[in-house]
Amino acid sequence: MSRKVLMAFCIALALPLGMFAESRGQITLKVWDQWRAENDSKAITMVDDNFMKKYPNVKIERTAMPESEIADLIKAALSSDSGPDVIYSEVGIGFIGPMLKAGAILDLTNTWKARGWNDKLFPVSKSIPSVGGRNYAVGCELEFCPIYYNKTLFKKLGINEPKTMSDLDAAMAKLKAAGVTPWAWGGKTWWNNANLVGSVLWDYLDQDTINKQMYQDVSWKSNPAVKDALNKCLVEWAQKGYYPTGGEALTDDEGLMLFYQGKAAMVPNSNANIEAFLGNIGDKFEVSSFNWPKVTPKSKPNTVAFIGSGYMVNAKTKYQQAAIDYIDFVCANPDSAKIFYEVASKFMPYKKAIPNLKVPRLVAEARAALTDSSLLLLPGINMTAPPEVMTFLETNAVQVMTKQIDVPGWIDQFDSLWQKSKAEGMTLSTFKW
Amino acid sequence: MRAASFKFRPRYQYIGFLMILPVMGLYCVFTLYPIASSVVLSLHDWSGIGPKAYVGLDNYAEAFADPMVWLSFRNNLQYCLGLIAVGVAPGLILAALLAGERIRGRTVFQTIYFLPRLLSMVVVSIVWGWIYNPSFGLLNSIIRWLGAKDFSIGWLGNASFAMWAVVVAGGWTYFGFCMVIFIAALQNTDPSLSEAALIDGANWLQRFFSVIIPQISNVITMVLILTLIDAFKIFDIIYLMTLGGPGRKTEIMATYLYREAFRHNHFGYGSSIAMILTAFVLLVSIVFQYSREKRES
Repeated sequence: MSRKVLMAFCIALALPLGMFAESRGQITLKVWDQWRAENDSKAITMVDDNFMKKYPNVKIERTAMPESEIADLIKAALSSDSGPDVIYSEVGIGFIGPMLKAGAILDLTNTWKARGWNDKLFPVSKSIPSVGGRNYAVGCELEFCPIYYNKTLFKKLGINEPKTMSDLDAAMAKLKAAGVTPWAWGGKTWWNNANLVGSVLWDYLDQDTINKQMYQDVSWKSNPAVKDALNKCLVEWAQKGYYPTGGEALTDDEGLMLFYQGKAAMVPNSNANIEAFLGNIGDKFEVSSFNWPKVTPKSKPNTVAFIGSGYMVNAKTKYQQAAIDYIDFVCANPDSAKIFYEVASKFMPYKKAIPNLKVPRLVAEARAALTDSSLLLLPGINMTAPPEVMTFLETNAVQVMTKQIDVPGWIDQFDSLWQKSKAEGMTLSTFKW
Repeated sequence: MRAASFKFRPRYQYIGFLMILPVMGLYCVFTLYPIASSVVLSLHDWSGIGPKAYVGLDNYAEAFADPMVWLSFRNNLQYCLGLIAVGVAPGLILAALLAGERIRGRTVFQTIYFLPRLLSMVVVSIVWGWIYNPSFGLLNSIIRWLGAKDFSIGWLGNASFAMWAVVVAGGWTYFGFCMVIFIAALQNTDPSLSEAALIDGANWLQRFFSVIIPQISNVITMVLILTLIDAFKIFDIIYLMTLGGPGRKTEIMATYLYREAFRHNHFGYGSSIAMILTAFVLLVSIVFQYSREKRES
């Protein structure tokens, strides 16, 4: 046989063998996520490398894109046969609901038990991406939203960390008198409004009431504490000038800039921004945090919890086992959690002790709060509200502040949208999948 | 000698059709098919994934009964009127000033005034967002320097001024475009009519409104129709500058239908709003054109 013929024969043999390599155990797992920021990307790359060392037959093909892009593409991708196997995206039913109803997302209820995630992961990681007693994702990037504040300024003005709402009011009055804007707030960014209103609402309502609102769709008009909460944060604080002038026209970043410059003293924000705080503030002043203060002497201090996003599995994936192995490795592994804490200051849902964790003080404080049983850690309203209600929450806080509508009018509209969503099967109590 | 004449032969016809076929194909795939799909989608209830449920004209009935649709329609109309005031009118005045033969540096002025039109709306939105910034924006800095601190407000967050603030930004990109069109129209007017009016004792204003404007009325109609289409088509400047806020004060039909479709998963409803918008613009354009032609005849 001539050399040319032999070579042609070898190539002809190798090509199909190469094409069918996956059928012999080699697989490529397609993952869509949002780990785009420099340190986030660094952290997930390290985790992926460790995963591929542990599972040498699995190659991770990761595509990072903005959340808005995933939102635009995910429905079409899941409808096709070539979508990603694992998706890391927003998990509220407002967003994921249609995909759950279409059977496009894998039910992970049994997986939670089988993999021991109930013991290894924080409860909010499970409670937020679940509806009707069934789970569809593993919540990741745990966030909670205390009040971050300029500790140096507080010390200078003789203000202690507020423990009650009266303390907070007194602190804000003192700050205002000293020429400092109490709140760094940008009303143009929707998330800010939802966070502010949601946090104050949750501060005024007890856990039993919150559960009834979220899981039984009780009317929001029936509880006077709702009106008190909104009067406090949307009327009283606005009238007293506790928000930046023209704050309704500022973006989140512009509001934060006031905090970084020391022109505003407090910001209700997520621990997800710790890295930005540390990077922008540097040595200018000391930053610390306190939980939303008690409204009544009997209420527990609370902090609202969120999850940034969650890991889900495409119901059409051919590699279910590998997909679940991947999620388990990223979310329920102490080494992966350590990488995310130390490299990106991101909170993975792994709750057990992580030995030799070296993180900045703010990160350590936040992690301690997550495991503090005296603290009421409640899933935020943003995590569970139907989409039309969310839009209203995000856009219409400013309407009250700018006196376009009053608080009772706001509550009326809010409640009517909630009941409409209930009729459409888009609340936690009525959603079926 | 027989005059040379070109006879249109069938063979050339086929070649002509073949030449335009690729473009027609692209037009069908990327324009006609999506429009047809939107019409079909508007008759269904669909969340973006899974099966569609036929609902007939229910989406349209809901849209006509939806107060947000009417609010956003009014906002579009406000933007349109604002654009006429801030874009078309200044463009016409500038054109009248620059159309004369003896204007020195006319080309330079035309170029400078037209430049904003070349900018991407994303850039325009960001730059004007900075200008309007309540803390460090140029506008408020000037106001404070003039000693009128009380007028230094959050322009894009103020319910009364937000839409006008956006109109100014949009008009800034528009007046140069109008100016160029009007200059071309003015240069095609009959100068003898103006001279005759001058001899009869008409002043500049009278000559402008009674002699020149009627001669360019066709062009003015065309510009107004384009303004209407532009004003009802906008999305980017509102989305980037105000997101429809404060409190939906600057919500327009395009941002509303986008939110309904992509945020609230009501794709059928969003499509019905898009169809209503398209039908409205088409209808107004036809009525406008028809009434102008009727007046002329």
